[in-house]
Amino acid sequence: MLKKSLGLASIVLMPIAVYLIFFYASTEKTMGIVQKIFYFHVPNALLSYASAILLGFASIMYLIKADRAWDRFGSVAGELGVVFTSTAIVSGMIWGKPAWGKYWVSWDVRLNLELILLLTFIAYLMLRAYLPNEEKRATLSCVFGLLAVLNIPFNWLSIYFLPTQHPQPVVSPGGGGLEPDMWIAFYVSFIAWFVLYGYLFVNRLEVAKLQEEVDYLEHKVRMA
Amino acid sequence: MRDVAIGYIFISTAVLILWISIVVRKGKLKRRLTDLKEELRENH
Repeated sequence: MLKKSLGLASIVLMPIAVYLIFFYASTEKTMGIVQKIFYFHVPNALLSYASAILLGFASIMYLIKADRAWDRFGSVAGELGVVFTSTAIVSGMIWGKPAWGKYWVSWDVRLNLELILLLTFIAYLMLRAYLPNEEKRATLSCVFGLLAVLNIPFNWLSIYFLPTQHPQPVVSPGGGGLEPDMWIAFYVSFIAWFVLYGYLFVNRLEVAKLQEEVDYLEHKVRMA
Repeated sequence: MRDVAIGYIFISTAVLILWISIVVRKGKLKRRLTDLKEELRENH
């Protein structure tokens, strides 16, 4: 039921978001049309943070309860984290080229912390792929889960306190704000992306559960 | 406009690939699960 509702909501909300972004929200005066990447970039970046927080939470819960369901939950968050951190970085780079004249600014703390977050997610998944022992895999991968969540406060606050060319916050506290029509497009896009993330998360979690069942039955068949 | 289009196409493609991989994996696992259950039933 939840899965179907999230899927249906995504199908309805995404086209509405795209319509609002391109045909309703006004074009920003200084940046022009390229500013429209913001409506996808910010939700994707926030979802990369959400993935890290979910992964960190699952890691802590696994270390406390030693329940494999939390390990499964963490692995799904890690996988979605790779996708959404990549899309956040690439969309940011596409915006950066016309804004800064280059795709990547090597000394920029925000950019580098986001890249480190992506590498942490990849390291987490690589570690899981190479360790055959389930218990060992779950415990050791928690280290990377905790590293991912540690990145978030520094990443979030870097634009306030550290050297960065990244735009100052628009939607978070102290932000420059948006025009009312831009806010509407942003909120709809934000909700659409979070609903889609929920839909993908629930589905991927189901796959992880099925995989465990298959592994268990394969073991049982071999023993029979 | 070209940059924005590339950005949106990249993001949509990445999410679409993720969704397709989930659906395909789920289908394969469901079939494997049915086969294994049948195999176990036959063995007993």
